[in-house]
Amino acid sequence: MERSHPPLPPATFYILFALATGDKHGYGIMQEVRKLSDNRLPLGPATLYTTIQRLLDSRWIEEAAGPADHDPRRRYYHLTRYGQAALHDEMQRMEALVRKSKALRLRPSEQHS
Amino acid sequence: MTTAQPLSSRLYLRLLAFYPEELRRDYAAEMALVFADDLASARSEAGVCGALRVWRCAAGEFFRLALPACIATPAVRVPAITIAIFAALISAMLPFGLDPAPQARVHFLMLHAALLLPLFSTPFLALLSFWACRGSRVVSVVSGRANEDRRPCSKLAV
Repeated sequence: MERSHPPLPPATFYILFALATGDKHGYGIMQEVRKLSDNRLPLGPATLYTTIQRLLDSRWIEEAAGPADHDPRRRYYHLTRYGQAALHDEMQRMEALVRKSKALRLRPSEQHS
Repeated sequence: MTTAQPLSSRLYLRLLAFYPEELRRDYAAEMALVFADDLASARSEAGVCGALRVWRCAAGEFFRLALPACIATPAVRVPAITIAIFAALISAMLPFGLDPAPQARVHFLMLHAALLLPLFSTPFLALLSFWACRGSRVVSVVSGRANEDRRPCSKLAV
């Protein structure tokens, strides 16, 4: 598949990844990103909403209705098919990188084997 | 967002004044909410260290995202450049005041204070009033949104 965009910034990638597991509000996304990145990506409210704003503009995510009993102050976000495609492309790129590193025996564990 | 809100959340609301207009307009209320949730959860998990971690992250974002955008605003850029020029002038003139005679040093400092302090404080006050004005606007917008019992997004208000 031909890639149409450069590698995604970490915050963008993790937010798309977090939304791939279901619709979430801002704080829900933040918690999921921490879980997915093993707490390695410091994601504060400003980075979170700057990225959300960019993703909404590019239509990779959209606002969702959320559960019936949700807090009205929180907006929920949903991954669109464009966002799913971008996430899929990024994961393929990462897989290709891992395959190449394995082929070149660049990973320390493989150098010794 | 009321006066019963913790000091840290109120301080964060004030910091939001420095973020770009379009981000504040659409997300200030949610950003404040996410910050408050994150702070409460970090405090319950790791106490003061947790709270410091959240503040360190917020400060990092402030310097990375808010400050460059804020300095691009003419209302901030002009006083900021003026302050920088005066700070440079004062520090460049300091060695001349290092006369060993104590009386000469006092005279130099008095001259410094009389001439440079008003010039230095004017842009500083301009910056301060900009921050106070925009900060109170953010607080009122966020309070208004928090009191509304509906979704802020018109698309979903159906």
